[in-house]
Amino acid sequence: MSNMAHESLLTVSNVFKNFGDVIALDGVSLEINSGEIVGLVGSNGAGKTTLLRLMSGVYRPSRGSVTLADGNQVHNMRSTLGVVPESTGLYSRLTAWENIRYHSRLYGVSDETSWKRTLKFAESLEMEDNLSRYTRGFSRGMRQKTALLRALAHGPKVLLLDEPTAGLDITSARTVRSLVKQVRNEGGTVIYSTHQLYEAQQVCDRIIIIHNGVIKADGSPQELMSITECNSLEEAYVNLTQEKARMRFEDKKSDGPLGKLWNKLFKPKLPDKTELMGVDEDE
Amino acid sequence: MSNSFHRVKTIAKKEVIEFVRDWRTIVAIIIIPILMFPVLFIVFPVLLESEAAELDSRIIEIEVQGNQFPDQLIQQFNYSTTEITLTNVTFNESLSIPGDDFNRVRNMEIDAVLF
Repeated sequence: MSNMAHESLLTVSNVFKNFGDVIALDGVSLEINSGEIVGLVGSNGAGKTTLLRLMSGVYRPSRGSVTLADGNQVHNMRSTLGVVPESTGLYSRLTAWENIRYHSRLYGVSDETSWKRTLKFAESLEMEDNLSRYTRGFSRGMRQKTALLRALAHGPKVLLLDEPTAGLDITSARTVRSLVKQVRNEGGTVIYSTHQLYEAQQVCDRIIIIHNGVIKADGSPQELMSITECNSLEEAYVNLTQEKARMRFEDKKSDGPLGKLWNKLFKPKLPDKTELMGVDEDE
Repeated sequence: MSNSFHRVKTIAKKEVIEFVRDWRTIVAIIIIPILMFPVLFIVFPVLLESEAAELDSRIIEIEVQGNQFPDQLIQQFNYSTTEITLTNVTFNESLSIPGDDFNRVRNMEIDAVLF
């Protein structure tokens, strides 16, 4: 890798994010360097998507900051980012190209520039023939590819992908992975959220394991295996995330007398185990 | 300023394209009123008019029974669609027994009998 790879591009400093009583991120700090593919790996509800949304400027941190290399807050510089969210959010009555062009125009990029970039990546994704088609009839794979083209068309410095291969067939997933590598090889930076370790190992230069809103490990797949003294990344992951997944909702209402009354009246209850004991199945 | 105007223009343009391509909404808000207005303003009045003409053409036959017929009473029924017959009252046994008049109204030989 070139020197570019060591240049810091995006800095997350001691970020906390909570939604009501739920603490989604608990003091996360990391640095993203240019020219690398960083994998965010974690179980469902670990905080991957929240971190990705913070880095893309969709969310603002409850505490801490997410800044770009020039010191700007990330939500003020969204044009430097290309985002592919979990649900692609394409407009079904527009063609694939119209969707891409619309996005680029909002970033102030000329149609000519975005068309050139789109054509270049569409070739890699085998999407040239589908650019003039309405996205209404697209398969999940085609939608995902269109969203990728849309994210790349305005020439972002950082590409943020939220589980880009989820629900894709083997061929489409391979194509997406090879495009991600192509972007990196051309000097781009990719942040790649996934919960598939095999995929992370294949694609990413660096893996960040996130669990219960906390970063548990950060390093190359080999480094993670050597830290945990495990032979596979899966074992390393299990080793690092042994702590039980947090309770997502804390029951604050049970504190006071009113809360107790509320819980008594409205809290959903499971049947008591002792009540079920001895009950005949035929009854 | 020009940047935000450019964005607004881009969004507006996209919305218009989406709207134009949404034929179901276009049918609902344009075609249906175009079809409904002639129905409301042409067909309904024609139907109501013919209904009124039918009512106008019907002649109501009223028989007034009595021994004296004040002019004021006659004038009250003096419409083109009303035909009044004045008949001297005839008593059978009692005033409360209607005689044949009840059956005449029932068989629609006459529309009303006043006495």
